[in-house]
Amino acid sequence: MEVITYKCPNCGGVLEFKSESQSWKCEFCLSDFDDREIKSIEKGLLSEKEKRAEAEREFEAIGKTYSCTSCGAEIVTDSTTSATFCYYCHSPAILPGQLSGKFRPAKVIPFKIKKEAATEAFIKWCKKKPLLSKDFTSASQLQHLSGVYIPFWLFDCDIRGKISAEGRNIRTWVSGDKRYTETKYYDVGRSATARFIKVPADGSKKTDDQLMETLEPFDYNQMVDFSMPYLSGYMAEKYDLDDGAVYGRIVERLKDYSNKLLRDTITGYSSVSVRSCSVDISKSKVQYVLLPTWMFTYNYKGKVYVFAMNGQTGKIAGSLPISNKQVAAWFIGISAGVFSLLTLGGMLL
Amino acid sequence: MINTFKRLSAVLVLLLLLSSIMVFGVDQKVYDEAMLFSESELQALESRASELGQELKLDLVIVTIEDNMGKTSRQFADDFYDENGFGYGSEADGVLFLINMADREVYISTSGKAIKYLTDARIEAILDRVYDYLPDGHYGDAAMAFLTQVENYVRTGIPSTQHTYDEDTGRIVKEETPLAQKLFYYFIIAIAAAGIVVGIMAAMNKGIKGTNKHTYLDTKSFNVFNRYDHHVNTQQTFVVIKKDPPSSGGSSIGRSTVHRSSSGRSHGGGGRKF
Repeated sequence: MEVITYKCPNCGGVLEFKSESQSWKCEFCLSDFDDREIKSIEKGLLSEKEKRAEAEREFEAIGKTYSCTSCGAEIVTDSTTSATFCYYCHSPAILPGQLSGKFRPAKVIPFKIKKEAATEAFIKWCKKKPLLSKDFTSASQLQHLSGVYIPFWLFDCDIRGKISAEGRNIRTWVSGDKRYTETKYYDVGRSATARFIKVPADGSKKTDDQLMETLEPFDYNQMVDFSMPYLSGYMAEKYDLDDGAVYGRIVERLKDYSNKLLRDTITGYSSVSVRSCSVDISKSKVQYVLLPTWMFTYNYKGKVYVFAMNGQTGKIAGSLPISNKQVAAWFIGISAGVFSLLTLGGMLL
Repeated sequence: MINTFKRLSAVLVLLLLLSSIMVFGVDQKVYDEAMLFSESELQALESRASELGQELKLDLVIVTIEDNMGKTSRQFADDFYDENGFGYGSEADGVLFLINMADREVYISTSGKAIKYLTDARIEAILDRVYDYLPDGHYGDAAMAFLTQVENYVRTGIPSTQHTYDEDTGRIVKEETPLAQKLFYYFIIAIAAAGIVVGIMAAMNKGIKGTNKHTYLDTKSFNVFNRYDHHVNTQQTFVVIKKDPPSSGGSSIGRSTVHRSSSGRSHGGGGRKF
């Protein structure tokens, strides 16, 4: 199976997608290529590929071996990787076979944040946490920092929901020597339809669903049609959970959202108690896309911490460890402060 | 020889007498100067007053006089109590019952915690009971009734409406919560505040979800196509508002009126002529 590496037509060096300029740059001769130019390079490459495809069909039947087009080393990946780097010469290697047919994404959001900016932003985020041990960013080792395109399924769904509740309106007034309380009871019902657009669910077994959900929302306005050159310089995964497998999570989420939206339509009562709420969800469209994330793996005091950063918006997800010393320090500090304030106040008053 | 024996026995008797006086000295509760009680009544009252006093932690003192030393019953009772150092604890908790034959008055003086237990209303009630025995001169029974009534009220407890009214200043005395209790509350509040803040800080160590029900909603598509609000029932109830008892003059329920005696200490109490 052949690997694609986009090479600079001027000097033959590797081309990587640069998020800060949203274009492709050659590391060696510093030439810059935009969207259109890269497409023509791609066309040239692919036509060459077709010529060699015949010869390789035999190999395809036996097994998948990839070799780096720059240095010839064997590229080792797992079954879901679709873009990676050669371990020896670090040239980006895109595996088109993993991205063909049903595995070809419809859209992609290219990276907007470059590696150094990601690291800086992460350290800044850490500095703002009062309960994080001061030496986390220095004493911990950044095991991995990689820009990865994670496969996502985007669902468009129509929902139809019905809610029934009891509403109460309470009035009190005083007349003579009596305090009157009047309670009016209402039987309340609402039915509504709505549409949710591009609700994401990650299609990769390896990634933590909660972590990915915390990265949301992505700005879909910057989503473009997929083409392989965007992956150059980053890692990418193809899905191993198809849209049917992740639909369950989407249903859960949409049911929750619908319940809340319906409940919001009941207004004007002193108190409301919901009797029942039912929601029907139907899928109207599913899209397979790749969304950019920076994945940080830190090793701190023997434990591994994984953080993710939205490669487009910079939002960070993940749990930082809590330093018991700092918890104690803050707790004692605040309680001592409040206590002395109260005692002083008590004395003065 | 016989002389020394006589001498020794005299000394012994004297010592015995002295010791018995010393035993009674501090712990004597009944001072019957007007000689109103019989020997048996005296003993009964003495033992009852001591017993009850120790149990309730209130000094119960009974005094009868013929000569009021130029003082009013109130002054006499307060001063007698203060000067003889009666009372349990730092507040000198206790009650004194005075039968003043010179002015033909009975008077009850309260000190310390007893001020709270015996409100003005309760004192009047005790005087009512005691009064029945006075016309016929059954002073022993009157004093015993006093002890019994005080016991009842103390066992019942301080009434919830109790408040102390200082007649000299004309103001209600605010209950000072003891320092220890105040500090305890401050401690709890401080810990709670610290707990909440640290809790919030700990939550900050994680990322928070940035999506809600509106994030993916196509707002124009939200359409409520059916709604109903049916009024099914109305219920009306009422409660009668209790009017607070009038607090101008007279004795309101739960009031304990106090004044300062010559020694400067606070006393409550009340009396009646018979």
